[in-house]
Amino acid sequence: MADVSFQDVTKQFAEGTLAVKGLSLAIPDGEFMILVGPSGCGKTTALRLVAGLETATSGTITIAGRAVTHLSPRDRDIAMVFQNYALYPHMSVQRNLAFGLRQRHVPRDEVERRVAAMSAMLGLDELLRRRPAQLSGGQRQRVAMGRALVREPKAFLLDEPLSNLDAKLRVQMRAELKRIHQRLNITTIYVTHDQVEAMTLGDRLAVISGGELQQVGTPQDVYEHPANVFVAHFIGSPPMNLLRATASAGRAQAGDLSVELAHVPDGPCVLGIRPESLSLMAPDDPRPSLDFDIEVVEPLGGELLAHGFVNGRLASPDASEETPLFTGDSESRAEVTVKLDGRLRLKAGERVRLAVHAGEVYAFDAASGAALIG
Amino acid sequence: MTLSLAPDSRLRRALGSEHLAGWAFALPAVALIVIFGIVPIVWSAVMSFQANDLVSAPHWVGVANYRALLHDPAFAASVRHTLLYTVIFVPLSVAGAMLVAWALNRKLHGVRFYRLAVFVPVVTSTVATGIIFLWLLDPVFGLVNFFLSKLGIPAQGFLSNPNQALYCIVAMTIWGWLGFDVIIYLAALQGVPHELIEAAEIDGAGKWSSFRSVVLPFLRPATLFLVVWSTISALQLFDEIYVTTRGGPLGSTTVVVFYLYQQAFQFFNGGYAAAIAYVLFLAILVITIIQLKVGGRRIYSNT
Repeated sequence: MADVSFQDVTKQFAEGTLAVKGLSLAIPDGEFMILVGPSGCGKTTALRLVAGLETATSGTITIAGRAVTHLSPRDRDIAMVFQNYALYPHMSVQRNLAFGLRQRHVPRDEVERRVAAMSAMLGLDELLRRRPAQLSGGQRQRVAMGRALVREPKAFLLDEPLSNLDAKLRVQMRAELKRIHQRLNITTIYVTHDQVEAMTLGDRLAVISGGELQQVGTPQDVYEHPANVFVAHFIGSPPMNLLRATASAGRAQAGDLSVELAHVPDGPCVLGIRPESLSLMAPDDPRPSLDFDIEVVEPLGGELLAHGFVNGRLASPDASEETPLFTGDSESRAEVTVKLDGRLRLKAGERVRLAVHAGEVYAFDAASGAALIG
Repeated sequence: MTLSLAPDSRLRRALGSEHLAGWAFALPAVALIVIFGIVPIVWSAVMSFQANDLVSAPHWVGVANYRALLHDPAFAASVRHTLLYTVIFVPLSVAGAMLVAWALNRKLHGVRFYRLAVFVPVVTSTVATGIIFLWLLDPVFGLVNFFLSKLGIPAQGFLSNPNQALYCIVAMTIWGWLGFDVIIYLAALQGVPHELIEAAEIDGAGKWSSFRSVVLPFLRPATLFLVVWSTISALQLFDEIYVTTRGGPLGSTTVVVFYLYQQAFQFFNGGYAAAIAYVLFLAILVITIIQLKVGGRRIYSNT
């Protein structure tokens, strides 16, 4: 077990793609760290840099305080679970589990003991003689984890390990992963694009976009205090509603909605309101409110999602230079999603008045997308 | 129309049926196979029980040709030469091809050129290959002896030395056929998932260990095919011998098929040659069946 750190790590591929830009991130011993971001954001490259499957163009990567930037994967003492498991198809489960230990010349009886312990922990005892092709997706997943963990590596790397499983199995394996981590307490780096996995599994998340680290923090912290408009939109499901607004004298105006935001400087800005921060307005509710025309209602049992339109204009979560926040001709109607009590009986076509929960309106700089914090 | 057929007459149905059209399309190929494949196979089987000089009328001799083969020292020698050639050629060409394919299966600058260079000998005519090797290995004027002399090694006889000629033929045929095996192996190597090699690397396997434990199992089907195919072509070796040594010197490169050729077209013992052909055919059949049985067991199925 060991800590892992990136110090100003950059990776540029031969054909010119800049996959990771100046990444600095410290992962203390035993932490479950999630690298999360949209596909192509560089999170998998970052993981492969730790594994040694890619070599950093510049910067330093350390594992247990030792610089490993230029070491080969076999000398780094890490283990990795691949997205498609990468089990050796011609070997039995037993031999798959033992392969890494045998490569490291662990004595035979020690190999047997550790394989037996790992297969008992993961419930693989019945499957030891089978080939990977004879296993179900969930079983292959467990073998892949067992193969990685049986070596008792310094760090445990997982590259979207649940993405090939069906929804039910994914929830089950998510809990199992958490249980394994609590038991073994191995430093874990987990790459995913699924923000539910990121929120539920991680001790901390590192949100990455365009090869750059956007924010690091506990799931709750990132959810409650997003550093910028990208993180705000990416973390949380359904995503945060973003509206173009104009601020003057401590108030921001977006369509019908007028909110008091003392810390926002005058001029254009972006207002962010999570779907769960809106509710139907009671008769003499003093809170800020806006009209909402329901287009589609999705009942989920305990709650419901209503999609519809408000007066105002949509803002883009992408703050990159190519797509400034205020571009294009957005309609004067903005599409908004609201999460409401499932017992409400709402119909498409209905117009309701929504109130915004006090203190749950986020404001972002219109040019940089950075959060404007009060 | 004078010929009027009843709508349900047999002839009409036969003419209009898809069967007829199908046979019409297949006819050229079927004719070729029958005339140049099946007829010679049956005819040579018949011939092998005859005394047949290919000119005068043959007469039946029963199994005399086969019995004579058992006591023919020249035939025994040709079998020895063929087996020696096969035992050297097959492992060297298959292993060599695997090595070359592995070396060429990477992002190398100019890899297309190297792949082309390896394959060109395959499409080069055997006659041209043979003549090039005759020049290279010429005891007096050859380039190889020239370079050996630079290294202080005395001139070798090569194709004119009975102790070296067969090995020179091995070298020449490996050079000529390696490209084919390499292409097969390159295709097989493309089928090895890259993550498996990465997984092995992370698991601590070195280059050789990951090749042996991860890559090699994926190459087993290709290896089996190449071993069977190379063995068959090695046992049938003829062209290269015909172009270069013509069985010599002192019969040291007289392999089975060349001996067959001599018997049939130099000594006009057609029946005897046919018997040799059938013995060779049966030997190849048995060897191939054994190879498939032994090798097939070691191929895992991915399903």
